Amino acid sequence: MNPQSLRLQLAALAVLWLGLFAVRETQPLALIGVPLLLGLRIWNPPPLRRHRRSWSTAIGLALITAWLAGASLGDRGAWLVGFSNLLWLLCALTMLEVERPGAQRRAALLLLLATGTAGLFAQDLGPSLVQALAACLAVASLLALESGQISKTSLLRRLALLVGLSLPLMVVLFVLAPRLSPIWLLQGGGARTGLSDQLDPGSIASLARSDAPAMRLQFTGMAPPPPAERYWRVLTLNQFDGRRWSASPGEPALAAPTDGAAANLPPQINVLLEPTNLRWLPWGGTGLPWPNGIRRSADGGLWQEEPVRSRSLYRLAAAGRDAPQPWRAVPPTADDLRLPAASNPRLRALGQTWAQLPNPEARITAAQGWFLQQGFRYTLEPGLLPPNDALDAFLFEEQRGFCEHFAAAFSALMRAAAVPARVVIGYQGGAWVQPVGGGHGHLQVQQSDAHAWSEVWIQGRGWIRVDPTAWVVPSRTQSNLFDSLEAAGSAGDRRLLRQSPTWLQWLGGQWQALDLNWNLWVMQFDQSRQEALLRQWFGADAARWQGPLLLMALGFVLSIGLVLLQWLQTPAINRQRGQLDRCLEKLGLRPEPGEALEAAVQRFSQQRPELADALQQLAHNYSRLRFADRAQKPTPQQWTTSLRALAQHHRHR
Amino acid sequence: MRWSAALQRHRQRLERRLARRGPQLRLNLRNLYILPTGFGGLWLLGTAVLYLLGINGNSNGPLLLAFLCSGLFLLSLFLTQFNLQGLELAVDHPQPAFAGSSVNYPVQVRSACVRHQLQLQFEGGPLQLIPSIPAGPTLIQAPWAPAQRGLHTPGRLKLYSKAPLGLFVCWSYWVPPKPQLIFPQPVAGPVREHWIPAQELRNVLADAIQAGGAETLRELSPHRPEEGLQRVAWKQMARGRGWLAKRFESETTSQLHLSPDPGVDRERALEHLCARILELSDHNQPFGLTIGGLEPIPHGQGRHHREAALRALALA
Repeated sequence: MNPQSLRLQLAALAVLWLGLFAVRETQPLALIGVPLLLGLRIWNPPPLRRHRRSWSTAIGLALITAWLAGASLGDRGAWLVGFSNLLWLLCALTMLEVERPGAQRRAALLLLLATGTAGLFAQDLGPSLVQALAACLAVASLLALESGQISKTSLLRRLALLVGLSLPLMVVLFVLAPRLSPIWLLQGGGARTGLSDQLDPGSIASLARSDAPAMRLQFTGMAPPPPAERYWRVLTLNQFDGRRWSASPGEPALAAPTDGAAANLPPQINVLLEPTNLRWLPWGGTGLPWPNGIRRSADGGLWQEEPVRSRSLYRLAAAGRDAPQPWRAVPPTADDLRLPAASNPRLRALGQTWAQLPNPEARITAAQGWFLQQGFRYTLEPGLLPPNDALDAFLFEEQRGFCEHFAAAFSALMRAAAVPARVVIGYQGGAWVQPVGGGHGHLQVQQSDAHAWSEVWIQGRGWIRVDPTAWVVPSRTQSNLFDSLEAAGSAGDRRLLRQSPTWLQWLGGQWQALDLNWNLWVMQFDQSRQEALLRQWFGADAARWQGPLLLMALGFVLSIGLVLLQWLQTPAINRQRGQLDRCLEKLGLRPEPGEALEAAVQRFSQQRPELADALQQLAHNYSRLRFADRAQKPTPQQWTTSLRALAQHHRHR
Repeated sequence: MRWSAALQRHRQRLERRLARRGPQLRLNLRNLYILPTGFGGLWLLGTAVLYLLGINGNSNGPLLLAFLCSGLFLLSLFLTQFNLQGLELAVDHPQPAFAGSSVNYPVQVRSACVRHQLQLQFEGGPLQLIPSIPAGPTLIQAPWAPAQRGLHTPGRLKLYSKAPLGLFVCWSYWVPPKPQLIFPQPVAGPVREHWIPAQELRNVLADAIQAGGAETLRELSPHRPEEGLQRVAWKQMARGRGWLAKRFESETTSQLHLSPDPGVDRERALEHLCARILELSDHNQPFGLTIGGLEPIPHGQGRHHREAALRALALA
C-alpha cells in the first residue's frame, strides 16, 4: 500500500464531501456516512486493520440493502439520486479496505465516478471548482502510486504537467466530439422555488422571499432596458372565479416555431433560467425564441413542451425594444371580461361607476386616482383575507398588501368597468452586474423580484400593461423591493428580506458574473449549440466533417503537447549545448565526433583567428554552466550575450 | 487443456521472437511494446459511464470529466512509452555469485532524462522495482535465481513500466549475452579431507619450499585462544597492535587437501566442498583442492586462491 496515494485519496474524498453540500439531492445518510467512514479510516483501529475486508463487506451489504429498501418504497423517478448517494457512500467504504495497489487504483477510479455524479447535480462555478479539485486529487493518487516515494513538489509538478497537457485534449473533445442524444432522460434537480400558475392573494398572510437567483440575462447588440421597463412576463392569468386568478385550461394557442435563420438575428438576449417546474419561460415580450422547442403563445407567453426541471439556456433573437409584439394585438375573448356575479359586490359597484366613462383610458385614470386617494400600504405581511369577497376586504377594509393584491384587485375592477383585463405574473426588475475588467455585463434577476401586474385591452392599442403597485409605491419598479420597503417605512418587512451588506452584494455580483459566463459558455454547451457553432465555423455540412475534424484537432493538440513535453524534460544543459552547436554550425564550424569542446575551440581559433576571443568566451561560459557551482554559473543574460557575440561574426561575413 | 497449452507455447515462441540480443540495447519504437492494462480497460469503462451520465443527465460536468479521462488515457499512452524510449541498456561485468540465492546481474543504464517506476524481471526471477532513474548513467542490479552452478546467462530480461497512471504497460525484452559465473550453493556436509604430512610434503613438494630456515617468520595473524601464550607476538602487542599470533614456515607441518566425497552425489559433494572452502577461507586456513578430471589446485590461501577454488567447483 502506498501511504502517499492513500492520503491523496482521503483528501479527494473529503473535498468531494464538501462539494456534496452544494448538491441539494444529497441524502443525510451520505452526508453523515462519508465523514464517519473517512474518520474510521484515518483512526484505523486494530480490529479494522485485522479484518479490513469483512468490515467493508458488512457495511457495504448493509448500505445496499438499505438503499434497495428505500428505492422500493420511495419515488421510482428518484433512483438516480439514490444511486448517486449510494455511490458516494461506497466510495468512502472502499477507502476502508484499500491495501494493495490494485485496490487503490480502483478506488481512485471510483472517486472519479463519484465526482462526476456530483457534477450531475451541481453545475455552478463554485461546485465545479470543488469537483475539479477532487478529480485532480484522485489523479494525483494514481500518479503517486506509479511514482514510488517522491516529494510533494515533484508530484505536484508531474500532476500539473499531466493535467495541463490533457486539458487542451479535453477542450477539443468537448467542442468537437459528437454528442449522442439522451438515451433516457435522467431527472436532474427540481425547482427550488418559483411562480405558481395561479394567484390567490388572500391566502398568503406573510411573504418571505429568497434572494436565490431566478434568471440571468445577457444582452448582445442592445442596451438593457431601463429599470422601469424591466418586466419579464411568465404566465398570463385570465380566469377569475371571484377569489383566484388562474391560467386558462388546456393547451395554449401557439405561434409557429422560429426558423433557423431568424434565430441568429441581432440584437439578442441570452437567458439562463433556474429550474421553475413550469412550462412557461420568462421573457420581455419581444424577440424570436430559440431553440425551436420554445414557442410564443397567443396570450404573450413563451411555452415549451417539458417543464423546466434543470437550469436551461435560451435565446431571444431580434429582441430590440421596438420589435413587433404580435401577441398584443390578439383580441380579447369573453373570458377576459368574465366576473362572477355573486362575489365582491362593492368592487363591482365601484367598477360599474367607472363604466360610465367614455373610454378605457379614462377608466384607468379614474382607478389610478382612486388608488392614490385611498392610502393603500405596501407590505409583505398583509395577513389573511376572508374566504368570501376577499378583494372587497382588501380594497375597502384592509388596504394593505403586496403586488399580487393590487394586480388581482385592479384587474377585477377593470372587468367590472367593462374593460377586458387579465393578470400577468413574472419578474420585475433585476440588478445590473458589470464585471471588473470589462466583458459583458448581465442582468441578475432574483426570486424576490417576482411580481404581478395587470394588462388591459384598449381598442386600437392592444393589450397595455398597467402596474397598480407602481401607483402605490412608485419606487417598486424603479429599484428593488428592499428600497421600496424602505420608502414605505416598514421596518418589519425589511427584516423579512435579510439583505446583505453592499460590498458583499458587489462581491456576490462579480461571482455571479463569472458563474454566468461559466454556465453560458461551458455548462450549457449542448448538442444544438455545438451544431450551431460548427455551422458557424465550417459552413453547412460541418456535421459530415466532424469526425475527421476531431481527429485532426486531437492530433494537432497532442503533437504540440508532446513536443512541449520533450522540451520540458530535456535538461537545460542539453538545450544550451544545442544552441552552441547551432551557432557554430552557422559559422561553418563543426566539432569532430568525440572531440572535446575545448579541443574543438582550439582548432577553430587557429582556423579563424578573428573568432578566437568570442569562441574562447563561449567555451568558457559553457564549461562554467556545466560544471561550476551554482554561485559561479553565468546568468542566462551572460550566456546569450556570449552566443550573440559569436553570431555577430556570422552576420558580418 | 490442450488449447491453453498450445496458447502457452505460442506465447513463449512469440516472446522469444520479440526478445532482442546483443551486449547493448537502445529502447526505441522497434523493440518497445505497449498495451492497455486491465485497469486501463476499467478506466475506459468508467469514462464511458461518465459520458453516458453526462449525456443523459443533460449536464456537462460529468461530460467534461469524461473528456478529461479520455485525454489522460490518450496522453498516458505516449507518456508510458516515453518513460522507456531512449533508455540505453548495456551489460556490465557480472560478479560471480552462489547458486540457490538471489543473484544480481549488473546492467548499466544510461538515460537522458529522469525515468519513473521501472520494473525489471528476469524470466522466472523475482521482480525488481526501481523507483526512479536519474539522468546520466546508473548501475542497476537485476536479480535472478540461477538454478545450478556453472557459467550462465540470466536469460530474457523483461523491462517494463506502467507510469504515469497505470493505464498502459510498456515493455521490452532483452537477452544480455554476458554470462555470470555461478558457484555451487554452499551446503554443509561431509567432504573428503586428506592431510599430507610434512615429511611427505618435503619429498613431494621439494621445489615448492624454498630454503631460508624453517623458523622463518611467515606472518602475523589474529591470535586465537586455543593457540596458547607461546605464540603471542609480545613485541607487537607492546606497541599496541593487539593480540597477534606468530606463524612460521615450518608450521606447515602438514597440508590439507580437499576433494569431493565419493559417497555422495557429485553435485551434492561439490556443494559440500563449497561450504567447506568458504569456512576455511573465513578462518584463513590454507587448503588445496583436487577434483577428478581437473588440474588440482595447489595448497594456498587468500582471496585469489579462494576464487580459483570456487571457480573450479563452478566449472567442474
